[in-house]
Amino acid sequence: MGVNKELMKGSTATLVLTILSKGEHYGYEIIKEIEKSSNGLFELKEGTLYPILHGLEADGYVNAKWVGEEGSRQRKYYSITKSGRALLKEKKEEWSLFKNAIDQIVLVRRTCQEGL
Amino acid sequence: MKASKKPSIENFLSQVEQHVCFHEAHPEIRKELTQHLQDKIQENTDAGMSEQAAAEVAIQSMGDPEEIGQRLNQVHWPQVPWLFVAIASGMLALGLFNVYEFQRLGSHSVNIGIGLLVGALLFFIKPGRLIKASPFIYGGALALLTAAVAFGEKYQGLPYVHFLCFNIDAISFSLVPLLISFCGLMSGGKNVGSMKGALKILLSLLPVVFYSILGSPYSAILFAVASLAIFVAVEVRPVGILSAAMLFALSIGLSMNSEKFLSAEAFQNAKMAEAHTDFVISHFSQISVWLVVVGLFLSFALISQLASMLGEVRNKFAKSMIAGHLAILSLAIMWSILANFGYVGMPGSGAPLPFVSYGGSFLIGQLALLGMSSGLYRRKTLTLN
Repeated sequence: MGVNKELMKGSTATLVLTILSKGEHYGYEIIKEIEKSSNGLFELKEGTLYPILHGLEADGYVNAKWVGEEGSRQRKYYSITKSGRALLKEKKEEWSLFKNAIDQIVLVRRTCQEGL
Repeated sequence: MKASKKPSIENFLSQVEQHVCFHEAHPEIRKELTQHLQDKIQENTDAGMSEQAAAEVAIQSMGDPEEIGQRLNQVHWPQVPWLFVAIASGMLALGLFNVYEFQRLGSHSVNIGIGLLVGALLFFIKPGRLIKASPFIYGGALALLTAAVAFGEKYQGLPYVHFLCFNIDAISFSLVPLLISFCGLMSGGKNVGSMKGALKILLSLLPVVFYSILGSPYSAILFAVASLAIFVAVEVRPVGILSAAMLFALSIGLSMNSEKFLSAEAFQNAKMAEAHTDFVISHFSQISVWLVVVGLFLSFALISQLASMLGEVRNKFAKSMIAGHLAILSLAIMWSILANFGYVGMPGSGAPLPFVSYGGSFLIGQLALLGMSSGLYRRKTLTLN
C-alpha cells in the first residue's frame, strides 16, 4: 500500500533534509534512500524531487556541486547547510506535535469505539 | 532500440523545459534529469527489462513533465535586483543634478550611456564564458599596466597609454577587468581549478604592486581590499587568512607612506571639475544639507542591498564577484565621505562618490560592476556557470 500523494506533499522536503543530514547525495540516491528507509511505502514521482531540491538550494538550506569530469558522467551532489539543519530541527518538532495531536484524536477515538 | 528510446526521453525533457521560462536554467535541469533517467534505465535493464521498456518505465516513474516544469519555473524565475538598480539610478540622478550647473550634462550623459551599455553586456553575458576567458582578460589587463609603466604618459597624475588613435587611462580601464578575471581565476574552471594557494596570492598582489608603481595608491588599496573580501568569501582555508593579513599590511603601508595624499582643505582651492568629482559631498553641502542627507542615505542603502545580494548567491564566481564589488563600492563610498569631512586625506588620483561624481572612467567602471552583479544575482539559482 502506497501513501496518499497529498499526505506526502507537505513532508517531502523534511524527508529530503533528513536524508541529507546523514551525508551528501545526488537526486537518484535520495529517492532510493527514501524508498529504502520507508520499506517501499513512500513512492514519490521521481521528477518531483528536483523542484524541491532546487527550492531548498535557492533558499540556502542545501548546497549543491557538480562532481565528475566534464564529458564523462557528472552528478549533482547535495549537502545540508547549517540553516538546513536548523530548519530540519524545526520541522521535526512540528511533525512530532502534529503526530501526537493526530494520534490523540484518531487512536483515542478508536480505543473508545473498541471499548463500546 | 536506441532510436526509439532517445526521442521519448528527449520529448520528456523538452516538455519540462517548455514550462521553465528562464532559458539559462535549461542546461542544468536537462543534465540533472538526464543523469537520473540514465541511472533509472540502468537499474531497470539490470532487473532484466529490455532497453526500450526500461526507458519507458523510467520516464513514467518521473511523473508529469508539465507539473515538474511548472514547479521548476517557480524556483528558477529570474529575479532582477530592482531595488539595487533603483537606488543606483537615484544616485545617477543626483550625479546629473551635480553636473547641471557645471555645464557638463552632455558629456556626463554620454558616459552614463557608455556605462549602461557595458553594464548591459555584462548583465547578459554567461558567467561561464568570462571564467573561461579569465586568464586572457587578466593577462591583457596586466599587459596594459606593463605598457603604462614602460611608455605611459602622465596626464593629471594618471598614466595614459597611446594605442592607435586612443588614449587609454591604464588604471581605470584595468581595475574592473582585473577584478572580474581574478574572481574567475579564484572560482576555478577547467584550466585553473588546481591553482595553488601561492599563485592565488601572487595574482592578488600583482595588480596592487602595479598600481603602486603607477602612483595610484587609491586603486592599489581598492584592489587589495577587494581581493581580501574575495578570499574571505570563497576561501576558508589558511590561504585566506594569510592573504588577508598580507593585503591588510600592504594597504596600511601604502596609505602611511604615500606622498600622493592632499589635505582635505584642498577643496577651498579646488577647480570646478574637482568640486564636482572628488568634493561632491562638500559641494552638495553648500547647496542644501538635504542633498548630502539624500546622497549618504542612497550610498548606504546601495551597500546594504549589495550585501544582502551577496548573502543570496550560491556559486563561487558569483560570491567572489559580488564580494569584490561590495568591497570596492563600500571603500570608495567611505573614502569619499571621510575625505569630504576631512577625516582622511584625498588621494592624488581623487576619491569620487560612485554613480554621483563627474568623471568618465570611474563611472563606467561602476556601471559595469552594477551590470555584472545584477546579472549574477539574476542567475542565483544556477549551480553551473
